[in-house]
Amino acid sequence: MANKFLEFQKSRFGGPAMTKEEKPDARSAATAPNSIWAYIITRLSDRTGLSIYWLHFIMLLAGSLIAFSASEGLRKIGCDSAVLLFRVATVLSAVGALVVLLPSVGRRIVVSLFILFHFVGILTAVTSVSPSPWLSTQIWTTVYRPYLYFLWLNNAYHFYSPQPGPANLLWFCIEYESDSDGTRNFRWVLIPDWDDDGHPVNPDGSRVFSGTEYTRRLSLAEYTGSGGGVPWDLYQLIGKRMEKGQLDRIPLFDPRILPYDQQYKLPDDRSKRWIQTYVRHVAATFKHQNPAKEHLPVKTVKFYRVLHQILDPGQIIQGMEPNDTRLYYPFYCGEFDKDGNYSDRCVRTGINSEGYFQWEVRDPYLYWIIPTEYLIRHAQGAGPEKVDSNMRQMPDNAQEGNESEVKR
Amino acid sequence: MSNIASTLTFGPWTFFKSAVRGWNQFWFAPADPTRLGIMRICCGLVVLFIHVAYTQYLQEFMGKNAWADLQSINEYRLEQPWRLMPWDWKADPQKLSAKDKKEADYMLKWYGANPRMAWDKGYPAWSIWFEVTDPTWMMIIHCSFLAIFFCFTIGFCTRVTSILAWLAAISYIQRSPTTIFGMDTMMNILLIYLMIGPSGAALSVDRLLSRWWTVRRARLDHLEIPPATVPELQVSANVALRMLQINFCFIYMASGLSKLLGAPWWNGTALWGTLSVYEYCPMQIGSYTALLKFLCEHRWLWETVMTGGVAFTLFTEIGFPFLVWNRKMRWFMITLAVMLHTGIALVMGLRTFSLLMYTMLIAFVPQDSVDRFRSWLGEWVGTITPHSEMADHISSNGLKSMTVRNSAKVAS
Repeated sequence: MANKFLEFQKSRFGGPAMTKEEKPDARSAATAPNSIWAYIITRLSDRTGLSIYWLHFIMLLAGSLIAFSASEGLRKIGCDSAVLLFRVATVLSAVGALVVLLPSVGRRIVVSLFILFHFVGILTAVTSVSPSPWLSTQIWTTVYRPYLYFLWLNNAYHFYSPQPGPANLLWFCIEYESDSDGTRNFRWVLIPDWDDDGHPVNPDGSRVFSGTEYTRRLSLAEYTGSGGGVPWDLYQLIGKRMEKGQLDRIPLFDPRILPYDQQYKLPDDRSKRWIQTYVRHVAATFKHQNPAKEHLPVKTVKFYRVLHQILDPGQIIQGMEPNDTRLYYPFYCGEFDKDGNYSDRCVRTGINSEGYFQWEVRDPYLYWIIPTEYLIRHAQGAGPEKVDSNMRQMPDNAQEGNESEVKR
Repeated sequence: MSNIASTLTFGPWTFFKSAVRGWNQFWFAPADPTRLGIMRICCGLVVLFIHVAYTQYLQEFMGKNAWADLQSINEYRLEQPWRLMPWDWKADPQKLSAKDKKEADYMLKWYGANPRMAWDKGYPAWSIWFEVTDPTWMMIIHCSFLAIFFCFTIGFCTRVTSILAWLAAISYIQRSPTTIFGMDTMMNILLIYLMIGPSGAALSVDRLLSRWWTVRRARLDHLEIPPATVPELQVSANVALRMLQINFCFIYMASGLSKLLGAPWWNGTALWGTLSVYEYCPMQIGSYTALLKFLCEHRWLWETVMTGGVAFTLFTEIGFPFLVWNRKMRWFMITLAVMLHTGIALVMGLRTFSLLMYTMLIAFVPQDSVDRFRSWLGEWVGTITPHSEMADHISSNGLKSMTVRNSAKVAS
């Protein structure tokens, strides 16, 4: 039976034979294998008399079985991500075991099909970003999404497209429980932040280890800014915002610099979730800057997504500094508790009696730009209470109504 | 009649045959793995640096309470709804009401997305950091990963360590997707193709060890000590290099064409948006801001530099995928790409990203340049024989292996 199979393999494949003597690529001592792996395989082949192809087949099959057993074992202890990995390894090893037995033409056909599949997938990833063709989006969603996500090849490579924009920054204002004498406690966390020499620093003031970690923090902010577009009820929103602003003495941003429709930026649902996630991290990580008050629990966290505008050539000639406070556009994105849930006075969410999701905005400032000179008033209030915060005094260019200014 | 028959016989069939031959030649001609070896060393060094930089911030980026905390990332990868565009022209229902409490909870979590409206939920992702959250164990595993990256860089057990290196790198990427940027994307691409190809077949500890063992074995068996040879040409090396080249062309083409959507890339002002961003550019350096101010004070110069820069970027990115295949244009296009990434590194501060892009460009370097490089390295890598002389070398040694035959074919 074995001989018949060997003959079949020789006649069918014209390639690898079962025994070493019949191998077309039996190595002499004069050739050096390229790697340890090749060396081990060659030695094994010498010892067992099996061809390299069969050794690969046996090893891959064994690998497949081991990976399957591992995946089953891990499934029982609930490591779903590792289970996925070992299942992929099981399939790949099993397919690989079959492929090594194919003749050269068969192997090339399999590899060619894989190459085509792979690059059609890359093409769908590249073209499924808006504006995208229907076909591309459907194929990406239904066929390629798992493959591309698993390999993380899902990037569309649209760098600086359609245009290079301002950097996004994350500004958090954490409020801790008040002192017994009524002093309100705040801490501002700015991501990223710089020292007076312009070097990136961590929130504790120490310098960032490398530019890579600094850029990672800039990337965080990019995920809070998807969405946008002018809402259908913009005029109602402006009305509410102005009404509340008059009460609090926090006016709208100057529409001559930025039109009203660009002063409101509604993030998409995914961005809203990332904001909640970041808030949880900030609330769990940062204590009050005063060592005596480190024990104070977090009451609320206000989050601002800040667009740092790029200086135009005219401003540079006028001598404006690139970190001038007027260039920072903080968009207020909500007030949260320490678990990342919207505070009741900001947004109320729920399922109504008909089973539909309800999103009731209660804070008229939500998603509006807050002029930087009024930011402290918005975040910390302008009441007569005493405040313990890590903010400095208001800058020279600030207008009426400011108690302090964002540290810059 | 006979003409028609000959056309039918030779036209499509000849075209098909030549297409198959071309495909075969492009993808399956054996190639020298030395370029992969060089890329492995360059990529490995950058990967090692990137992950060493994680050490101080492991909990901030990968821990249970990281920026993207474990709860959130698990919800994303397991429950995130994916909607499909309608298959026909009917408008898709915008919202559905919840049927039960489970649906209501899901809708509350995903801003009203009803699970019945989702085509699929979550995405497949592997990361050790989904499973291990204890800080001590995390640090132990992180250090083990650094050791793997080091072994991969020097080419020790490369077949295994290349796979482990990718599995380790993807662990960081999948765990914290909101902290990754272009550098991680390029690192991942390089690691995937270096894993597919025999990246340890040249310029590696594996090769040195293999050589050492071969010599030792020959001595023990009282055989003649074989001469050091160039690495074998391998089909898998070519497949990996070609895949990397094609992927690189996709990156440039997508990046270049997508820029054409934006007005600043047409009116020539886009470059200003990359030169004057406080967060990325070296604006704390006095001479840099002085240079910007000088440019702004001379509008004709400003416009020339900006428009020239935009034209250079677009030409390089859109032209590269077409012109790099032309032998006469290859070095020119590689030089343009190097200039582009040098600019990105110096002005926009994306140094590791640029280093990885340089590494990718090695895939396009012609073989004769690789041979010269190897000759320059000389005995240190165990061979001085370039591929152009390999056929003679092989025939003089009387080797008959399949790979050697392929080598001779290619060399000839």
